[in-house]
Amino acid sequence: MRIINIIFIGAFLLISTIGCKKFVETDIETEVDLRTIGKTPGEISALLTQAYVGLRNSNVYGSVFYQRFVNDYMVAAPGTSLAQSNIAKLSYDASDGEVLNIWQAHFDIISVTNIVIEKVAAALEDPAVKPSDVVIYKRLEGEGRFLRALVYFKMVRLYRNVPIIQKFFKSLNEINEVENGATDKMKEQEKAVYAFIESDLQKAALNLPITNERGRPDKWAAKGLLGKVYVTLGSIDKFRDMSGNGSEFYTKALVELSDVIKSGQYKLKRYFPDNFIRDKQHVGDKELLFSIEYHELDKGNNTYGQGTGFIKNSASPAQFGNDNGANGSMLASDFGWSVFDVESPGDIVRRFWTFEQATFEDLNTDGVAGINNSLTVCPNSAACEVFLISREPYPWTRPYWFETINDTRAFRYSPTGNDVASTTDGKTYFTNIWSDASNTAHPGVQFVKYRRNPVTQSTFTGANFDGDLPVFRYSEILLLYAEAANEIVGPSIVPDGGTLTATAAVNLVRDRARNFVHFNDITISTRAVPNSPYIRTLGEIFSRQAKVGPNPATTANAADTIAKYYIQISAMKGLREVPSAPVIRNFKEFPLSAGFVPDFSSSFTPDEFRDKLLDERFRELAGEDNLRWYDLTRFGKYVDRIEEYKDKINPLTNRSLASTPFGNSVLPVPNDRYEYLPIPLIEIQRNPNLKQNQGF
Amino acid sequence: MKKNALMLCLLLGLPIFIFSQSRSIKGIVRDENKQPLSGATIAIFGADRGSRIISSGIGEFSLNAKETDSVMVTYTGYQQFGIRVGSLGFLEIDMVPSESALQEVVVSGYGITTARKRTTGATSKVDKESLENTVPLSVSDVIAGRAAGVNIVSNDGSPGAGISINIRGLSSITAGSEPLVVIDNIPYISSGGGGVNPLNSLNPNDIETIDILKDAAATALYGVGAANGVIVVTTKKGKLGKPSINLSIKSGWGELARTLKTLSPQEYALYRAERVRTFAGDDGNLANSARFPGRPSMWEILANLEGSRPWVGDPYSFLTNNYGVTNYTGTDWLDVITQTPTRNFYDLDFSGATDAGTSYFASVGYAAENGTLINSSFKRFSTRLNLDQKIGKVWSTGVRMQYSNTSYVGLIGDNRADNAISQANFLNPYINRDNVLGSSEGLINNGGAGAGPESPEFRIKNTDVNRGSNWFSGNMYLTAKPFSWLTATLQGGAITEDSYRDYYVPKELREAQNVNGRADITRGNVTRWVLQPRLAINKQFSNKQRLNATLAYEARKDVSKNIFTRYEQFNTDVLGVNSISSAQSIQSTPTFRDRRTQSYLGHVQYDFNSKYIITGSFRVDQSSKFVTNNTGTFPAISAAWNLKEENWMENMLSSVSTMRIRAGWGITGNDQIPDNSAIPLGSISTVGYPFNNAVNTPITINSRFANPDITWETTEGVNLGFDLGLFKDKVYLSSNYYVNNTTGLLLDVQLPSYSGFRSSIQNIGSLRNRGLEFEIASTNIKNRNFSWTSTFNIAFNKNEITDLGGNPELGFRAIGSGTSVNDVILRVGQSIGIYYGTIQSGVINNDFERYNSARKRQDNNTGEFDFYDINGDGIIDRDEYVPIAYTMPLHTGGFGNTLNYKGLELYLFLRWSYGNDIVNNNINRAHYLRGDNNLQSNLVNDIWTRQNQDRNYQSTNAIFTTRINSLFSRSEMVEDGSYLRFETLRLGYNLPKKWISKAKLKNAKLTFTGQNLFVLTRYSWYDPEVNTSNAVNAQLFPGLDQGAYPRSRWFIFGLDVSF
Repeated sequence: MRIINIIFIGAFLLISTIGCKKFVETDIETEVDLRTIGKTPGEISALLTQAYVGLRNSNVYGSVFYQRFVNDYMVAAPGTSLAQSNIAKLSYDASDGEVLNIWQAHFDIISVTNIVIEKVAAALEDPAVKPSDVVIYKRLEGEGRFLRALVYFKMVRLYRNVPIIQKFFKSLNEINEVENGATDKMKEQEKAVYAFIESDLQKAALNLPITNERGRPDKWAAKGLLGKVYVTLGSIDKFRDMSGNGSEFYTKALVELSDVIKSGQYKLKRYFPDNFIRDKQHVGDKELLFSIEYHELDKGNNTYGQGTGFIKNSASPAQFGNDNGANGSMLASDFGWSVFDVESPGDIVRRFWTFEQATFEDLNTDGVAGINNSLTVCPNSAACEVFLISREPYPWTRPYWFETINDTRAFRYSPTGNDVASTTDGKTYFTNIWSDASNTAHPGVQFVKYRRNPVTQSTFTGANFDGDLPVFRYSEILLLYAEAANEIVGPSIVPDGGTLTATAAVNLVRDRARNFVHFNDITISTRAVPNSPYIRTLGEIFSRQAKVGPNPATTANAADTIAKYYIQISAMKGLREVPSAPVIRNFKEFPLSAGFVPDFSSSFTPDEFRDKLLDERFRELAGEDNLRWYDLTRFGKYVDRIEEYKDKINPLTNRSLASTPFGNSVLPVPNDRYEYLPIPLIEIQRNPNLKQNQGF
Repeated sequence: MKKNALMLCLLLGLPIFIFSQSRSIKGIVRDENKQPLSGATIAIFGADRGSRIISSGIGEFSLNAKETDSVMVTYTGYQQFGIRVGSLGFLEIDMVPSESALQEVVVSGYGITTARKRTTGATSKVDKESLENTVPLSVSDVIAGRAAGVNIVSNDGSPGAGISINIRGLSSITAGSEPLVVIDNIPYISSGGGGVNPLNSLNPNDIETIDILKDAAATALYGVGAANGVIVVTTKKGKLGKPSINLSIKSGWGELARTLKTLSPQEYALYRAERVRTFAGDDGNLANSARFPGRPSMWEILANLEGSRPWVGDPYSFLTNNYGVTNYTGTDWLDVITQTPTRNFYDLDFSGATDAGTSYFASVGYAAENGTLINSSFKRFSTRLNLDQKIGKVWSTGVRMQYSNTSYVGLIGDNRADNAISQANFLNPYINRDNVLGSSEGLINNGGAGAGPESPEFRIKNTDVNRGSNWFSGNMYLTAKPFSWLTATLQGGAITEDSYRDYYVPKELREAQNVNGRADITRGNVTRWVLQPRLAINKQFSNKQRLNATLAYEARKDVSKNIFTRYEQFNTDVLGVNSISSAQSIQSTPTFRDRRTQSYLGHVQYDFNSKYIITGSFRVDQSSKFVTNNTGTFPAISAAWNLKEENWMENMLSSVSTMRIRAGWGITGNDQIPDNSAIPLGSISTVGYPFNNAVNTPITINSRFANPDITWETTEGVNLGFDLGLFKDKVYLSSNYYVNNTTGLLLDVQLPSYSGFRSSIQNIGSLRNRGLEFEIASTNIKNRNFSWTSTFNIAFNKNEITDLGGNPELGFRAIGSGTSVNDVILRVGQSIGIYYGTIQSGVINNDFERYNSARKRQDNNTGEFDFYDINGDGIIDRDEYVPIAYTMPLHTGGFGNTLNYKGLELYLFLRWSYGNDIVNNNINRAHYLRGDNNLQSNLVNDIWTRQNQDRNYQSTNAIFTTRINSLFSRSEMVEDGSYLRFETLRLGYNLPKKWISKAKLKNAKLTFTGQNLFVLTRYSWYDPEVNTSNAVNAQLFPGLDQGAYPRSRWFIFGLDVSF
């Protein structure tokens, strides 16, 4: 009996010793252990993908970020929640949530790129690594560095004095040790950040392949971005800080940009809007060096078009006509559209692909103008009335219309009669398409670059813009090249190592802007539009085009222009034999009074050229990654410009910026500090090593 | 007299014992009514425990004893009885019921039980009457208000509502603060919210006792997770004697304990008509509806249906044709979506024990509630088997097994901020009842297209929500007692639970309109097991000294697997959620959780002559929640001094029957943080990114930084206790003062966001809870026919944050989203549960006031609220956020009375909470004047209009009510949440024996129970006991009411029969 007892107690003690250190280590089954991941290229690639996803964040390349940075040419629509943004009102301070959100969203991406770069380094140290994997690892590192540089380039332009973070944090101490430049050493820190970006991009250019999968950067994207960084540094040196003539940077920029141009990998698309139209973005000539990708089934994730395009927040139909929650609320200032209409008359394609507004006219003369009519008549009848018209009474801005109801679906989720309102001038405006014409609180021409046209999904809902978002295009390479060349040798001389003069580079871009239709996508209709005041036969259209407008641009060479349009006409004739369907974007007529897009004159002085180039950048790139805010701040003239336009009378509208709704909310106290953002206060509170920027 | 006999035994028993001869002796044990008591323990004093005898079913016993022996008889609930054998041949022992709380036994788990007299820590017991006299749906209903310092708040009044329990205040900030639940010696790791709450699956009928261990000295024994207190549940066990069968049937109905008064349909139409006029301008013209400019608005017509309007013609067809209104008279939505709730309980158990050492208890129970809301119900079916068997002299073994099935139906507990009841209260009464997508209501809204709210009736009837679980728990022990002083036990148990949740929303409802129907399906399994070998020593060294010691090892594992799937785009929904084969799978997310602890513990109690008692315990824990610092050591020591046992006290204060002083110190730990917080993890994203138009799925890095250094949050507690019994313990007071200092708080600290992370759990900061508790039990009157006993408890707790790791404050957000400002701020020197907001100073009544008011974030307009400009800078902004609500009560307590007159029993129980505020977020909805909400009826005549500028509630077009970027929390939302609740009234009648004996019944009892009969409170909403935050750090947002399901008043009749 005793023996049994002793055995029992022995067993008891034995069971007690099953306890060991191992017992309290848990299994992890549905999550990824970051300590051990990264043993294959696929795993690292999956990590890196999150950095790409991060670019879509509305505070990085999203509508929210973009819409806050108003400028002399684009303003926030008053009465919208956007107009409450303290950044848009230029009344921000370090405690503003917006300032923090932008900061946060960018550093989230940097954190991911850091772990990717570390994991690649660790993987490459493995002696057993396969040579075929080495190639992939190198590419992933290149992409990681490109993205890190891209994000830091945004950060340094926004905040200037940003801390450099190049490791994935593993302890709280590492996090707390981070520092930036002292308040009076902002510029030194800014330089250090630019050096960091430069080094990343140089390494990225080495590691990235000559061509890469769509959506990923290649060698030329890295070199092009490096060129852009150098041009930015040049203008900071020469104009903003006036600490030098910038030639060191401009020269470096020319090397990189020329490499991209000479590579022949990229070309201008022949029709400007193709860069924004889903079906065309990645077809034919390659112009996008880098773009944010959206999958067609993934539309709901893309609110960029909703936020910046001409559709209002139509996720909830009740929101129509309601100022609350209206998102597509960037407007052109009076000066904004005059950059097209006055400075570059005839720049119609870019004008209408940037700023527009819609209305109807009673084209079929049945006495009713409006969408109800066209809804029933279109698309199978000639009597279609939907068309677009600019708000301003300038003849050259009028007559573009879309033919089919499919076109209207491009603007509006399930339109109804309620979207139409009569006005006293006898016209019926399509109130909810672009901007709210019936609402006098919303004068202005809405920004519409990311229009949903054509719609590829019949079930799309209002929130979706289903195209990819261009970040960096070849046309910008040309413009950057022109800028650097102009600063070094002036507008008319081919710089060392280059192939073009500054003027020639710009004129390539302007030449493309003349193309008013995509060659591959037109069916010529000879059908006359009843009662139309406009010329309507094909021959007439193109002979009009060949003419110089009523106020011809000074340097246009008429013969040369005519020759160009003959090329276009023959191209179109060639395609008539193979009509493609369905037809949308069918521009029927071209304005009588339109000029064309005149070339930059070779007689411009370097200073004239620089000024005109800055506007050309806006015409070409407005609303893309290249914010005009960046362009103005790198020249150190953002605040001056707003001040100047505040009281300057625009001869076309007889208004100044201050007398428009924009004027109500802008610049209470002009101050240079509005050319950059403060370090978010909460970050300084959490880590006192961080120092605030000057002026905050 | 009895006590003196006992003393005599002690003094005389031993010396005489040596000389005597043994003989057989018989006897009978009877209760105070001379009825035989079976199962009483009869032992010869001083002999070893093996010689104990148990009285038979008819109360008889026989044993061998010497003339000089003393026989001791014990029976739970009765005073111990001792008698010298002498020359008596037959012992007639009439037991006297225990009047002393000291006779109770405190169950601490790990097989440790201690007579109350010997306890050194602070514990509370839920008395037997509370268990028997309430009709609880869940065990937690019994505990509420019964034990001082144990604060149980049920989240709302929905069937089977969740609860939050805290003992002696919140001892943690962002780590969990739920107590540990121990069932039949087996502790189960707290589920940390939302998961398995062992209390909900237990059938209250199966429970023998509930002990609550409150101070560190008592709880340090549990180490892990015991910082928040321990609830020890012991289930019933069969008692010696004839098998006993109990049958209980209870059934009843309820009604809404309170309703809110809103505008009647006609009043509502008038109000809307007025609003149209207000928007139309200052002229007060009836005209200007959006749809028919220049003509009366739809609301005008609805409010005056009988009047004739030339241009309208027949107003009914006009309304239908132009506005889609068919519901001309309006609907009382609350009435439509509520029903009379019912509760039904059926319990059957049988139990018994045999002389062969078998004892058994088996039960089947069924509880069902049909909720106040139509289509909502809760059901629980449970069955239990408890079996114990002695094998020979050394071994014994037993099992505790329970199966229970719970199910919930309907829209309860989902999306509380916008639940159907609060929606129905404030819904436009003119929506058509079959209006689903709100299209015609949209016409009502704005005279044009657009969607308004959908009919809540349709929503409730068409949303198909089912959730529930199958729960099985079992534990088994094997005990060997090789020596009389040594017990070795191996106990192990497991709980496994399969849970499900099916949620189907058809395409007819707006929620799923765009996706053509949606089904969310969750399936989960949780398995927990515990293995617990232990050794216990129980040694009496002389008649004065006794040593109890326990040594144990414990390993626990808690694994759960869960899968969530979502389907959309249904082609058919004939089978509801089961139509998924016709739908597309949108999302499928598996989750896996694994928690483990292992512990070594020792517990020693030394007792000198029942005068001086000292207890010590020491425990070492390892938890899988931590990586590098996963070991915690938790010591405790406590002592008690029974002053009344001292000789010098013998003759002093003769009315004092008990006087004890207790003191204890101990450390406990808390590891209730999210799993794997110390391991850097990523997860597979649900959002892909397309390269070359092919979607790649990324790995996302968790936004919480994995801090490898985190370790236990520890609470060091000191408890001082004083117990006083008067008049033979007829009045018994137990009081405690405690100070609990929690240090190394496991705080979820916000990180600088340049790190790429949002927060990290760090051991930072400390807080303190101090409090006083009193529990009084008294027998006020006791005689042959009538008795009256009372229990009373009150607890005061003061919570203070003493350190936040150097941060002056930590902000959290309870209400609102996006960029709303933090409204709950923790500050050093203040307590948890303080809400911040702006203080309203009435309405800007006129232009004079407008120009003199401080500038707000949005433009000042007349007819809007004004706010106090606290810092006088002329601007109302975040600096004007000041404490507006203190949600921690000053004191809470309960008061129970039991009266017996012959066969009649009356039990009354009240409980209260005093000095706490409630943040009534319903105000935001109820007073939202811009939408189509209905209003509280008292508000409508207070709304400022241009014509009535002296009114005190802001105008219907005040921008403030649009809630965009506005200051959110405001003093209007804060109300006094003090209450006194008449929780239970129970009337019982024991049918006379002569009646029932004919039916061969042992006992039969008729009962009526009224629950929640009234609540005295100034709180304006449904119920002041509310806790509806379902945010991440919900424990930081107490006293928040955002649409709680209202409580019912219950009337329940019952019949208890035993054979």
